[in-house]
Amino acid sequence: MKPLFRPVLLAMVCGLTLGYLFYMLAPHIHESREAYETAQLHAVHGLTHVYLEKQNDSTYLIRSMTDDKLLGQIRTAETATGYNGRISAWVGVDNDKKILGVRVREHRETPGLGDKIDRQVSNWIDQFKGLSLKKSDESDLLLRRNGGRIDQITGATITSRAMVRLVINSNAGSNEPSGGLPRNGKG
Amino acid sequence: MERVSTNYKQLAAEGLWHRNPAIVGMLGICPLLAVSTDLATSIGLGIATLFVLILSNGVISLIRHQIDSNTRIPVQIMVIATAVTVVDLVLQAWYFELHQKAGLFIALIVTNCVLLARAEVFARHQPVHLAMYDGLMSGLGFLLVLTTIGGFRELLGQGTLMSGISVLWSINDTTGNNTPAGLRLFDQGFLLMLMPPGAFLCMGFIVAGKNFIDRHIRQGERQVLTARINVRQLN
Repeated sequence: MKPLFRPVLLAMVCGLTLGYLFYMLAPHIHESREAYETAQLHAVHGLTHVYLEKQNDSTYLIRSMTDDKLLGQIRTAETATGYNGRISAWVGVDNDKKILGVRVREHRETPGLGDKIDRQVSNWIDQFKGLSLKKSDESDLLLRRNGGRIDQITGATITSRAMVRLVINSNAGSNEPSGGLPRNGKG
Repeated sequence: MERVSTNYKQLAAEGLWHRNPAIVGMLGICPLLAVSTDLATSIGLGIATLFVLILSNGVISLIRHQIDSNTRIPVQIMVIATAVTVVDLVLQAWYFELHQKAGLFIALIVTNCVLLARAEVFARHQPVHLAMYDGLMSGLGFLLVLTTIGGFRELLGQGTLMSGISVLWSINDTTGNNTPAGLRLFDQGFLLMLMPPGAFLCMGFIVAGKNFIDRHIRQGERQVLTARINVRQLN
């Protein structure tokens, strides 16, 4: 047992060091994550002079800064059909269910191929912009080979399909447009 | 055992060129080929690896008299894993975007054989300052190859350079639109370069280039030598 004493001691030292470091850095990490998320959210709608009102964990309302009018909303959407599992994204729609933008939050797609769904890697995701999420127009949202208007990512069919499914999924749950009536926002 | 030099100049020359961990040692190929799709991420991961290498080499050298030769591998891995986690946490705190982009590969630095190789061959026999210097030079050698491949692949594959610069320096973008920055040299890229085969091709060309230069130098030396012998014979 003697030769194991020092490695065990070292393991404890390593563990304590990391624990302490994490304790020190946790607020910073939280802050960075929040800042990153906010920037991502504003990138989804691409509108100016608007603010976001958090409705719940998965929905943000987009309101005009001038008259608090509801301009649309941003919803989370998820799919488990990505090439490497779960993909989650924000989908922004205006009051007429026209897509304002889609941004991937988390994914584990293959670097160099499937990661093109990330706006920082390529602007592939911009194809969804301007298409309608209405049930009647849903066929537009399919890949071109399935009769839709989305060009798939070369070499990443599964990822492309998953994104299409994700965007269509974002519509489920609220079949009726949430309405253009302004809610009583906090201002 | 490999003969090791303990002279600063020699260590630098070896780390950067003669036994460059990536193109001579062929170590750490997995992150090297996977992350090198663009220059900015390559630089980020290269610097992360560099820091881990200096840190782990330093600590392993520091505890070298306490390490039992039977348990040295797990001990070294433990130190390396700790160093990687430290860098991972720091990146999460201050370079969140980079962490988002290269996340998986930062954790995978643990399995980068460059680290274990330097610990095993060098750090566990040498004093701290030399071990850290060796870590610096090997890390720079790795960074050099990583950025070269990253630069080539981004340029040929997308026609841009440093398009992901925002992961390293946060550019003040008020609209939050994440517009790709950096140089755009041409529009349509050569897709193959962005795919895994492109990484292997790049790597192959770089290794070939290095060998070509080495042979050139050696031939030059030989010519000088024969010339000297000839002069001596004439005399």
